[in-house]
Amino acid sequence: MNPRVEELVRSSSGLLRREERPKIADGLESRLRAPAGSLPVVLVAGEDKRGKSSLVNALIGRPNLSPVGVDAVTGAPISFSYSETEHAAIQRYGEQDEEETDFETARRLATIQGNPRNEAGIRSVLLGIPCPLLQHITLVDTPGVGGLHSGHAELTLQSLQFADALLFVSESGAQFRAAELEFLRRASARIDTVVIAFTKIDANRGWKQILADNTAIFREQAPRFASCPVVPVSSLLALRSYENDDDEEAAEMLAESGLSRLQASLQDFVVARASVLRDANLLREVVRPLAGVERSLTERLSIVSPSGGAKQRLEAEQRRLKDLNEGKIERPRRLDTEVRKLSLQRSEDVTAGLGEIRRRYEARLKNPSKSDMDTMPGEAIADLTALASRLNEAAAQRLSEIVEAILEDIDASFSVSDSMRLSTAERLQEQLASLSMSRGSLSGYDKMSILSCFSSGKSLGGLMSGGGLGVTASAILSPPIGIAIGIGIGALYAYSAFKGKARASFAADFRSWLNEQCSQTQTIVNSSFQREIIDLQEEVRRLVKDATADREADISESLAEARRLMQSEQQRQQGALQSLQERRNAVRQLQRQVTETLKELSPVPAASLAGVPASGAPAAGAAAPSPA
Amino acid sequence: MPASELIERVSTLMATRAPSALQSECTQLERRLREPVRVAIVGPVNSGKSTLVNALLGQRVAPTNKSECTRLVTWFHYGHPQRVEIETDAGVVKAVPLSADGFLPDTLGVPVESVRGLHCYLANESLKDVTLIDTPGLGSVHADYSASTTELLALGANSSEAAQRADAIVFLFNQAVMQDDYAALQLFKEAGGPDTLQSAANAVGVLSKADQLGDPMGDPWAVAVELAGQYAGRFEAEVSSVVPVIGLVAETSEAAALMERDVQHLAKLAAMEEKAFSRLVWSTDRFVSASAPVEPDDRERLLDLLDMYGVKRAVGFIRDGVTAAIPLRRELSGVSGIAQVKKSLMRFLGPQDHVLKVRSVIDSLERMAYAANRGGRPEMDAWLADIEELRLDPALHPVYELEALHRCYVGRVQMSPEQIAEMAQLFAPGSAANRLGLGDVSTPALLSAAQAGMNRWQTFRVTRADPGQAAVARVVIRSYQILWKELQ
Repeated sequence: MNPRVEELVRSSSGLLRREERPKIADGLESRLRAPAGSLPVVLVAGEDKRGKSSLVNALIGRPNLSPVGVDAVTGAPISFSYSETEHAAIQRYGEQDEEETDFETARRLATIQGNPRNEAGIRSVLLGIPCPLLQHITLVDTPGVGGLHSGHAELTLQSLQFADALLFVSESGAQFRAAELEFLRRASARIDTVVIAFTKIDANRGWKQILADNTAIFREQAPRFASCPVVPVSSLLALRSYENDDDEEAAEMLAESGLSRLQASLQDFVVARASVLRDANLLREVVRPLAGVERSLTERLSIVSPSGGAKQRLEAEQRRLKDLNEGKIERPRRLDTEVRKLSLQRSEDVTAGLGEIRRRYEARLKNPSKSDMDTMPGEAIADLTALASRLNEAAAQRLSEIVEAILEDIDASFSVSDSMRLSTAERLQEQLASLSMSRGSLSGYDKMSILSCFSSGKSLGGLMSGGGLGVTASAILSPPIGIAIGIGIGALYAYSAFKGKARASFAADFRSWLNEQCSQTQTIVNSSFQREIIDLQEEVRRLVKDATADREADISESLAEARRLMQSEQQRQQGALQSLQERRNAVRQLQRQVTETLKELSPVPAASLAGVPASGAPAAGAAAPSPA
Repeated sequence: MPASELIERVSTLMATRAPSALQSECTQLERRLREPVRVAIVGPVNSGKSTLVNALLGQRVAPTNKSECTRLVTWFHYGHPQRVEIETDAGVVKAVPLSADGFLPDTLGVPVESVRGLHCYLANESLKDVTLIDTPGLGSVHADYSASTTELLALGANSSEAAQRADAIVFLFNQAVMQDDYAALQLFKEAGGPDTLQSAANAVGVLSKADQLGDPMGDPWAVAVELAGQYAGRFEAEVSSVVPVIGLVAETSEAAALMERDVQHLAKLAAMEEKAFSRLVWSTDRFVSASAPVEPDDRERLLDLLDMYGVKRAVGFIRDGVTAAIPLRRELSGVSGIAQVKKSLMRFLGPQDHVLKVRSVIDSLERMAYAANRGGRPEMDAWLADIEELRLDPALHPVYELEALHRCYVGRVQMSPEQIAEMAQLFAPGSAANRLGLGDVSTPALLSAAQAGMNRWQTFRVTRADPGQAAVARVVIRSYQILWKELQ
């Protein structure tokens, strides 16, 4: 952890304790003590046959770990994390728990050959390996994006929001294709950190030229990526070096492969940035409490000052709060209205989305080819899943906007107490932990997934971070996290029902199957949402009540203290005023330091981390290789 | 009537009986009839299209540097003198010479955006039967390059466009087939118009850069053949076959770019000790820069000519005793797979091509006539009748047979295996007896067999067939009719 951040957090905690906010201080201190949290997750994505899986194997140091082969192979996302001994598990659609299995079976099920048309209903595969690199990052291998198995593109993009970095794989035999560039653009909207691996340099004689071409393409068409590290690498040479008995030769091969460049990039870039982000998130935690203290002190100062008005204002506020708490004000109703609107919108959206999916497949059913028969059902599942998670994202977004707006209102009128946010976070965390995962529930998230190797600093840590309930709502409403989203509505559906069917009846069968899946999706999307929303509304209502109660208490306290002060003699009054001012200055000074530090730490465009103060890692700008 | 006579017949018909309103279109179509079959080479960027064109021509004309080079649709015609004509949007045609080393010129002297296409005339025998069209790659980040290819593919069989439309395409598959590649294939087929039966009759697939498949240490051919087979299955409705090829080796051997001195350099490499050689071929960088008995520049040239797999094979041949340039080129050509590509192209060439051409010209004529016939004018009706008669000409029938059979194979139309077998037998070239599945029998026996066939299918068509099956049945009945007439 950045020592400066640590120091600031400690100072803040000390100050908050002095200002009689021990709960928050406790919370901060426990965060300081807590372990670094989960590892950054690196998603490996790119078009089919660009060498993603080979690259993952090379990085991890095991040939054939992530299955490779001539035809596009990876059928389901595979996550690689650290474990002392080899360990494997699979997650199926519709199941909430992981299923332990042996390594080989898991590997096989992740491939298209081993699990054609996803008959086994695999959502994702989790492998644990004793590999040193995995002690710093978690790698996730994804099915290729632009290929004909294109249902995956949307899902991969959506998973990016839960990842810490994207390792985009492109090969050195051809320039970037439009589809790759498009994917990168869409990805960059969801993730800051992108490293590009430029593979197969051993086989392509003109790779330097292509690299130069690609750099030019970036400059012209996607300047945001112009400063991304692009690392030329040869997975094959690296993998061969691992199996080479001749040590000297092996070392040479490995050096030539450029793999260490990539590993350095990942370490410096991803890991460093992840820790910077975490530090920044933690530091952001103190902003609101400090602001609250500052406001409170200012308030007291103003009550005591001769120019009146402050006292009356506070008394008025106290009355308003009392009314609010007694339910005389219609604040809560706004939440109801907004939520109802949101539900309606969501219902419309799902109908529209399903209609679009149906239309698209109908068009394809006019002339299904043999390959269509194989892939359409799988693609339809992917499309429905993508629709569901898109809707969830939109709803989460909207909901957090609503809640923020309500809090803002309260804040503006009533100066919400800072303890509210922390306690909100605590309570919602409990709620998350206890929300059951109903079978077949779309938004029933997977607790294992949140806490599993998929989670980045964002999900749980995000609960605690600044931004109020925004991230929280998202975490609740998100579909089972990570790439492992599934609609759990019988994606296991008898695929075998399609096997061997004559083409003529395929269209009719597929149509009726799709209609069934669509109506199930619709029901689940709407009903589970209703359930979650009710819980959430309750929670918010309770929180608002608590917040206002706290605030009321706070005001009473201020008013009482002011009264006491007024009644004591002049000298004591002076002394008290001065002390208040000193305390306020202390808070303001600390606030300034925090703001400055945050500015330095705040997200910067990909490669220009050169200015980041030493957080232990060398500035990434120096470590990343510059393109050819 | 043999196909070439058919062409004359169509030509005469257009000249004498076509309504005056359609004269100018007919002139264009006339030209079309006389020209060789037009085959467009289409595929994603960097997939090796221009290399394949050069290999097919046996001549290095199309530029093939590593950067994306083909930016314009380029037609290769047979003609003297050798030259390049630049067709601009404004219709202007400007002629420039080929560059000194025989390639298309680097600079055209006109802004690239204003150029509609290049027409390169070469005195190359291969172009007598076929006109090759090299195209910019699909899915390029430079959207305007890919756009010209898409435009080419989308050209319909309408009058004005028919003159520009390709008759057939060779589609280059890479290791992985992208969504936009697939879309391009569909586009070509759809552009043929609703009348064009959806078949793969006019598209073949090529799995290019086959040497890059699989593990560089292993044999890429095994993998290539398997992958090609898979693609052939997956895309059977779009292409009639998929053939693997190593374009670079093909180009180098067919265009005789491998010189004696190159062979000498290869021989030096062949003489290297096994271990040292295997260390040299770890990677392309290593191959040109590590120490070896051949100068780095010369090695780089070898790599440019053959790439790693080609170099390894060449060294292998040399070690087997093939030490001169000409035989070495022959061997390399053999392992490049170009022979198979040429064979699969043959289905567009030869007598078959006339039929395809005539068919598409007739389609165009009919479409034009319908479009112009908005008042039910009598001369149009007569003209349409003429066209219809032309359509029924037996010489055209093989095309319909081919398409009907294909539709059954891909399952678009449900036929029993016995029916399909009967069709395949009937349509195959050969004696009447063979086609009827009979041995050495008298003519009356053959006649009655043909009659029986007609009746059988007629019954089927009327009683049990759905519309798709009925259409196929009509073709089969006609085949039997034609056979019956021939036997008379």
